[in-house]
Amino acid sequence: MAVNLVVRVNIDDPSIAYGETGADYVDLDLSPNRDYLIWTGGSDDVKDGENEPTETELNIASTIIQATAVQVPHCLLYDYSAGLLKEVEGMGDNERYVFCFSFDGETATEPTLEAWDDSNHATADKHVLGGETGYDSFVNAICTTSLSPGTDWVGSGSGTKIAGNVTLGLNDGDPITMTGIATGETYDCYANIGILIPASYDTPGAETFVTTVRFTWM
Amino acid sequence: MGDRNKSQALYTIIFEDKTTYYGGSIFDTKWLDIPKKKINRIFYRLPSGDFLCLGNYDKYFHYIEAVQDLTGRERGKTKIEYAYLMGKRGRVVTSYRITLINKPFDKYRLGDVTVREFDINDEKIQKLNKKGWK
Repeated sequence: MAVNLVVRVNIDDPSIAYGETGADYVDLDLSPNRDYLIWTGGSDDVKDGENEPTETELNIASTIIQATAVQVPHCLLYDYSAGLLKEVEGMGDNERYVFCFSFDGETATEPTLEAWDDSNHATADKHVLGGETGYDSFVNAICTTSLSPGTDWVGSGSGTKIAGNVTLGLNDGDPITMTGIATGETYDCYANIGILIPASYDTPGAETFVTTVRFTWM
Repeated sequence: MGDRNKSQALYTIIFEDKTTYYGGSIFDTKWLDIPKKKINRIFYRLPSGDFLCLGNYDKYFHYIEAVQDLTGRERGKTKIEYAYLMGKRGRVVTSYRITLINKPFDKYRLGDVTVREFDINDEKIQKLNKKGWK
């Protein structure tokens, strides 16, 4: 059967896995004009508990290039059903249970997380993805399905700078097997994602990019 | 399975004992339900309605590959991009990738079959879910 994917974000305590007591995750409603993620420097208008921000508010809250590399400090979920921004807890930190990818069946291959310029998945040329700029991708991702990512994993470069065909495996190299998973339950993979802007990067801008999960079924 | 369903099956398997097995659809391939018998031939339905025919392999593997965007204008949609049918003979695995979508700026078009060979110890082959070999 086709495998279904549900993406969840942790909005409370990133030391607690999905399904454990006390866990507080939001299932992303990714249909058009519903939930979406915002990576931001944050501001009084663009923070946890605020209403959906305007474009001007987002621009004011953007992260500014500095003389040293700077990590984008916040990832916010715009939760359409609540009409509010919610902080994705632990994004880019040494936290394991931040982005959760739940699969309801076995896969033939390991699921991967990818980053592209747009939904065509053909190019990774934007500045944020490092394409044609002489820089690596700013988008760092690390699989945390089995382990925490480690201290300063973004700054130390221990993650994968995903862009185009440089992808992140979400299950430690293995396909998903449902052995030991009860009927109706899901197999949950985890990753953390952090965005690191290089020191004195010469082209300021505000770019969108597409993150995608590639998965299979038999 | 009725004749109409047989004619629409994703694939048809003929075993060495001359019995047949009909696959399901892209969404429910029924690959894992294939009886444990030696396969003689697989006829795999291409988007054109023609068939890719594989035979004389020791083992076969099949899977569907899809993507789901988390961000961007097509977020949330599951888009099926490829079907893979593989045959293992000795130390070589031959992979037939069938394109199932027309993507802008992609040189591969719907129905294109891309053939690659892998050594049995190639990581891509070793990391496949072992339940899928038939």
